[in-house]
Amino acid sequence: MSTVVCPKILVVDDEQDMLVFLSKMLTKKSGYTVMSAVSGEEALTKVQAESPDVVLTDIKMPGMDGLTLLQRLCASDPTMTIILMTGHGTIEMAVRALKDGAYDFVEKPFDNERILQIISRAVERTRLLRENILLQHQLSGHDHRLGFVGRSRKLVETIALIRRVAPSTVTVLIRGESGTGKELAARALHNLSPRAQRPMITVNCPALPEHILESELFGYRKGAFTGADRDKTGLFVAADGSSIFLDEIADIPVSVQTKLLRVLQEKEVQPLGQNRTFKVDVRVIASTNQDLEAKIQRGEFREDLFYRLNVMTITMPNLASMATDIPLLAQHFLERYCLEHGRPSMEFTTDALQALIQHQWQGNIRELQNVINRCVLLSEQSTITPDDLWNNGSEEKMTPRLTLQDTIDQVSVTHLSYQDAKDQVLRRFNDTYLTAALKATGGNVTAAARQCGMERQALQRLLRRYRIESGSFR
Amino acid sequence: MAEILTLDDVLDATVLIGKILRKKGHVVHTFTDEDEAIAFVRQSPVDLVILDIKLKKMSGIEVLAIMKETKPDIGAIMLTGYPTVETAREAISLGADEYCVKPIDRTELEEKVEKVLAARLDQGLE
Repeated sequence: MSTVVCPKILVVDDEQDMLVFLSKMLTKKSGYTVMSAVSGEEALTKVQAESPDVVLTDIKMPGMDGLTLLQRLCASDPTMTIILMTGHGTIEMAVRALKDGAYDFVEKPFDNERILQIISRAVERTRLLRENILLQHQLSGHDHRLGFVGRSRKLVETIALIRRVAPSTVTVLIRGESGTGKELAARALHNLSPRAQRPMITVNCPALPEHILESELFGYRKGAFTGADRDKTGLFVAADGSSIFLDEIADIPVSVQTKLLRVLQEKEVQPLGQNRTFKVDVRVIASTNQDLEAKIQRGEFREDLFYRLNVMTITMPNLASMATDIPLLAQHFLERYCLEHGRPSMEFTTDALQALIQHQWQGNIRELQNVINRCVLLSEQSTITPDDLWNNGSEEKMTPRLTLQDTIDQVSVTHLSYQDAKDQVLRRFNDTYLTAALKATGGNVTAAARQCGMERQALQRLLRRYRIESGSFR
Repeated sequence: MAEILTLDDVLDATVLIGKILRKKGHVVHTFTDEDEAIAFVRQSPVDLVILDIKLKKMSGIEVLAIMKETKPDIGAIMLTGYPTVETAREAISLGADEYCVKPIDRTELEEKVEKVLAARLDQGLE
């Protein structure tokens, strides 16, 4: 904290003389910025506007007294240091004040030197506390800036690993299920490295056909093949001095793998139709969601390339292993999409959050992100209910995955109130049971009702209540 | 029921506190010597100490500091005939739960003791 800000002291006393004396004395002897207030009420407004470092307040004042002011200030900002002074103090009062969080208790009349000493120690206390909070914010904000949201152990460990690996030039293989943030990790690796000033080159391997991928990566010389009417710089050369990110590396054809191996081994590229090679200084980051070991077994991936890539592996945790972060992530995406779509802020109902936590996120964070994006776009109210989450033709209905038994076993409802827990289990049961019944009869409500042993009207009432469309099963 | 230690350089004072608190069902250990009291806290389970501030060899504040060092969770009530803001501030900052002024009447003492013990129960210290 190199910025030197003059500490601010607020003096509160109902006696004008005392205020003037203290302000003058403190300004002259310490160089602090001194403000004053003649009552507890005025002090509260000044504190809100100015956020002083130290408050020096009298105890006996008409209206709000010093002890009440102390409690209010401690509750609103524990980093602020409060000193009480009194002309007619009792020990009981002093004990109460100290136990309530006062930093010190001074009896009037006091020695100027002593009060200056107490105040300078108080200023120091506030400075340390505030600096500490600031540093903590910066730390957590840093991960945030890298794009990671979450506090679960798995994620925190992964981020720590990324931080450790980032500054080196070592080749990194990022593994993890689809939607776990592999590209985010790659960008973090690059941005935390000394190469961050230069842009990282990203290549989406499966997006490019074999021969194009090859010429894109390594470049070619004019006349190397029909249509090569000028020299082309390959991406490896473009990434010289920076990083190259090979996304979904498992999908590159074996012929390109051979060439890639050469780059990794020799740190040089040979453009098509070019006799000489170019030295390049490129940090390679690759990612895959596939089982490379199995691909090696099937002969679809070169083993030697695998070992070249697999110097350092970072595995991104799937959403199931960081389930405690789901509320945080959901909130993050909600705020982000509200902003993006220009909607006033929205919120989840407890049920909705619960449903998000319980959902099996095969598509991981990306799926969660998409579900929330859709909710923000389509929801009409400012609260998001469980119905908003899965409606609108989401894939949820297409892939029924819960058996009846599961609906009751898997719902972790023990921490909810009885009524909420019951509602939750009932809703899940009805959803699964009624959906299955309608599916079995192809959406025929009468037949489904007969099968369930109930009247058609009763079934229809249930379908309405749980918002199940019989039409969607025909 | 709790294990309570009381330390005062005046024997009668400790006897009186002992009588009052034993009637409440507590086990009370009375001391007039600082070192013996400190040694007792080191060896035996004690929930609460009631310390006089003016003692023979040390001050009650010093005794409090030593006891809190060996057993940070121990409850403490300071009891003094010569209260000053200075000692009150020191006692509270060292972790004393209460700072009372002599003469203390029976009900006040009983109340303060129950309050400190209850607060410790809330924190799951017993």
